[in-house]
Amino acid sequence: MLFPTFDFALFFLVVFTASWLLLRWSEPRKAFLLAASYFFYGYWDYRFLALLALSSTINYFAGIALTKLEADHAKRKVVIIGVALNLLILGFFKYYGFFLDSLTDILLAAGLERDLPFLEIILPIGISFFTFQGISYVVDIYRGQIKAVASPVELFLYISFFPQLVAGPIVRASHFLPQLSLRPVLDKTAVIFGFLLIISGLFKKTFISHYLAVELVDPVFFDPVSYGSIDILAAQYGYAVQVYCDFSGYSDIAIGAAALLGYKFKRNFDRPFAATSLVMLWQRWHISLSTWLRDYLYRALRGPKRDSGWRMYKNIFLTMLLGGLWHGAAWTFVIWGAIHGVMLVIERLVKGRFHAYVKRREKAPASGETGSVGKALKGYISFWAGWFFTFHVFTVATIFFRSPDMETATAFFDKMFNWQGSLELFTPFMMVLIVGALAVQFLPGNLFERAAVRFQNVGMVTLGALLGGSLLLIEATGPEGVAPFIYFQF
Amino acid sequence: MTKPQDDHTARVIPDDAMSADAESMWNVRRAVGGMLIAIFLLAIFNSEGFTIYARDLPGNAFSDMVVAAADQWNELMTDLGLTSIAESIREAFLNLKETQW
Repeated sequence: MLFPTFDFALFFLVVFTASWLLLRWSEPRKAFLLAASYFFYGYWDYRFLALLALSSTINYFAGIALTKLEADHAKRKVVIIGVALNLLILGFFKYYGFFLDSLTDILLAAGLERDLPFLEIILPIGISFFTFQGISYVVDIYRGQIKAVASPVELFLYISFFPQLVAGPIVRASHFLPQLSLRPVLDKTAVIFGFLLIISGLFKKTFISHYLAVELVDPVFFDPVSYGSIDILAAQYGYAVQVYCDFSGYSDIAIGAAALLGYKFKRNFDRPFAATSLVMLWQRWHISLSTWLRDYLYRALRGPKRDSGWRMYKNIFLTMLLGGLWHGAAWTFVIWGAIHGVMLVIERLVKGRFHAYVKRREKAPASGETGSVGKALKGYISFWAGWFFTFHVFTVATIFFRSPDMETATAFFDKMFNWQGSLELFTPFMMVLIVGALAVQFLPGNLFERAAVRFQNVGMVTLGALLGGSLLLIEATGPEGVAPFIYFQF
Repeated sequence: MTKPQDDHTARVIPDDAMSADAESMWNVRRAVGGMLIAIFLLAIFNSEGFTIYARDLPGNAFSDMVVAAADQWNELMTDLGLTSIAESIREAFLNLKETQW
């Protein structure tokens, strides 16, 4: 069930009303939300409900075992088995085809032709997200950061809660499970905040992202050779904006829907295109995945001690490389991860040396003091230089991310720099979408929170009129049909 | 302090939780009302969207009824001229969108 559909609107209306009618009965309310979440998932393909239940069961029993065991080596074994089972399920569905193809190629190269067991594997939607949540639950218990839940309903609901089930944000057990043992409250601000996020998400997804996809990005990436350099360049920027609006739009709707049901999710995007460094960008882009990779992959690579120097750089690079590989078993994703890994390392190296240079200069006797105007100018230049570098590293890397294969990516670069061809797809409307989406990144980050407080007392009729008016406007101006969310495939 | 009947975590909820519940339910009514009004507005001004939705339903006796009802409703709204608002917005937007350099 996709968020921007009438099916979801009806589903949400029913679930919202019924769940609040069960307010005084917390266990039945949780059971109802669990059933609703399974219905939501099964609506897409009921066969994978068993997989979702299996994943939750593994993590539930791993949690129970970790609570009961005393010896650290025994706990360690449970964590390893729990994480391995989670990764086995993910790996089978996500990488079976890739490994089979690679093995066939290796055997052929060695002169051994074999018919390997071919299976048509459908990638279950959201498998990465619920697997990551399961891993974080087990590892957090082992690390002593949370306690295992006794109630299977709570654990199953944590893994499958429908707003975040299919494309995140990756909710941490330590953040969500305590909310389940509290009586949910729907205050005036939460209502407005939830609806604002839902409308914002729908606009980002069904208007900005969809138009950019169908009228600029998809045609260019389908056949880059047919388009001129400016269209190619516009598609590069357009895709960065498209993927941002697509994914942050989904996150907005998820966070808004959860808020209306009485649960708080952390922010998943925080104006990433206003970042002036790659480190800052990754602190603002898909925050729940970035922090997940930091806490469970980077920390696993690093070990218990803090690291520095080349060891740290190697671990940063490997984290980004594996992050790239997580998106899919393709060289384009590997290169995307490698670009980010290398550039993050370079940025740290350059920044470290630059700070050391500045400190040396500050200690040196004042030869040519810079005035306040000069300092402001330096700050201004440094801000925009940092922004330009960060944004372009990101958008260049997304060319690999979007390209279906290496041939498309190389053709894309080839056409980008030959400065030939006519202008076909980059219309003023496309420019408004790209520039507008970038410009709003520089506005304050808490606009919705402030608006929710400002309009908290809006009455039912006004709320309905605003909601209906916004939906009507999006429906009347948006492209026909609903494109699936990009991150569903991951 | 009152002990909630449903509480399995032995948590004790203060008396003012009842007022929090009342506030929640007041906001639930507001939100449900708002959503119903929004759907009603869409049904009036974007009735064509309902016919498209109805035609995408899996074919059976019930969906046939839904399609017939959606078509009738759409005809009624079109005759009343209420769908022209969305059409005008779309037309104006498309004109703007097609602007070239």
